Amino acid sequence: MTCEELRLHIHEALDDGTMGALPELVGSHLATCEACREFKDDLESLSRALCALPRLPLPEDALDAVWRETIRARPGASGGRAGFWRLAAAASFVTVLSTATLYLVFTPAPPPGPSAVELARASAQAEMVFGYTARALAATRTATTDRVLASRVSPAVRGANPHPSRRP
Amino acid sequence: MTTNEFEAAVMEHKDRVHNYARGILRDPEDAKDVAQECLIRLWRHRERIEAGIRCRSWLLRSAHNLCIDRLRRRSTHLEAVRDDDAADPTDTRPGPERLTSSAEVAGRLERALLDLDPRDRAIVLLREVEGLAYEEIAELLDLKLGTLKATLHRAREKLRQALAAAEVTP
Repeated sequence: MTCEELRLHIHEALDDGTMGALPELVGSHLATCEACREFKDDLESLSRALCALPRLPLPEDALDAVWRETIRARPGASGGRAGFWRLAAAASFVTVLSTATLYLVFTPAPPPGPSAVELARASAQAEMVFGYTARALAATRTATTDRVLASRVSPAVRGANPHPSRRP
Repeated sequence: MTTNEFEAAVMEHKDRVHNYARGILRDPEDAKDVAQECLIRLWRHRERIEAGIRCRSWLLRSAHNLCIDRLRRRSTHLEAVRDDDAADPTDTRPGPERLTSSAEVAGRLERALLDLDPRDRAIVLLREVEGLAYEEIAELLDLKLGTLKATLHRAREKLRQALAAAEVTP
């Protein structure tokens, strides 16, 4: 095994977390090659040092800004889709209410109905028309009856006509 | 993701996202801004993000993209910072032979990380610092698994050499 091949093994062992269980071939090479041993130690130390790099927390002012821009933002913006629909429903309700109010306020009142005198006059006129009609119908019936009877009744009976002025 | 889940996710991942951004950008103010923006974006996209591992991946991916954007915008400035770090004649920090404390090692390591390509740095941070699985990193950075491993090996080697050059044993 060459040094280059061995170093690839070392990298892969570091990747897989199997540095503690290197193959025998690798172990025997390391036992005889100081440069590769140093390489292995360096990589392990490097990995530890990278893990130990100082980690700084996100400053409080940045976190505050995040909350301000997100969950503490104005209610209309914070609810997402649900907020949008709530807003839409409220807007619809206000629109309907406004329209109804305007309609009730500005629609003209219906024209007033006929007065009592006009109703009485119209009623009298109607009665008069009905009276004329009834009288005309009665006269027509009488005339028709007389005509029919005149052609059927015997002359003797016709002589006893209580209404001599009438002609058949 | 509900509001409660969002709050829990923020509390769980805020420091992770902040440290990742800090590791990539090496600028505390920029890192703070990126972390803040990521968490606010999480809120805006919460309806299509599940809590848990997916949330962590989403946040780190979002942080990575924001960091790369910022690095692109200030690439000239970053080069200037690197040059200053490398050859500042007024640098009174101790020489490599005196770097003994873990804080000094960490400082050197952070400088060595800064010399890596941003993508290589991201891979090292995600794997070695955040402890993400290779599959998760590959998905997050849109890389093939083989490419990811090869890049990580190369980056480790660069770090090792940089520290060896500074006569620092991590």
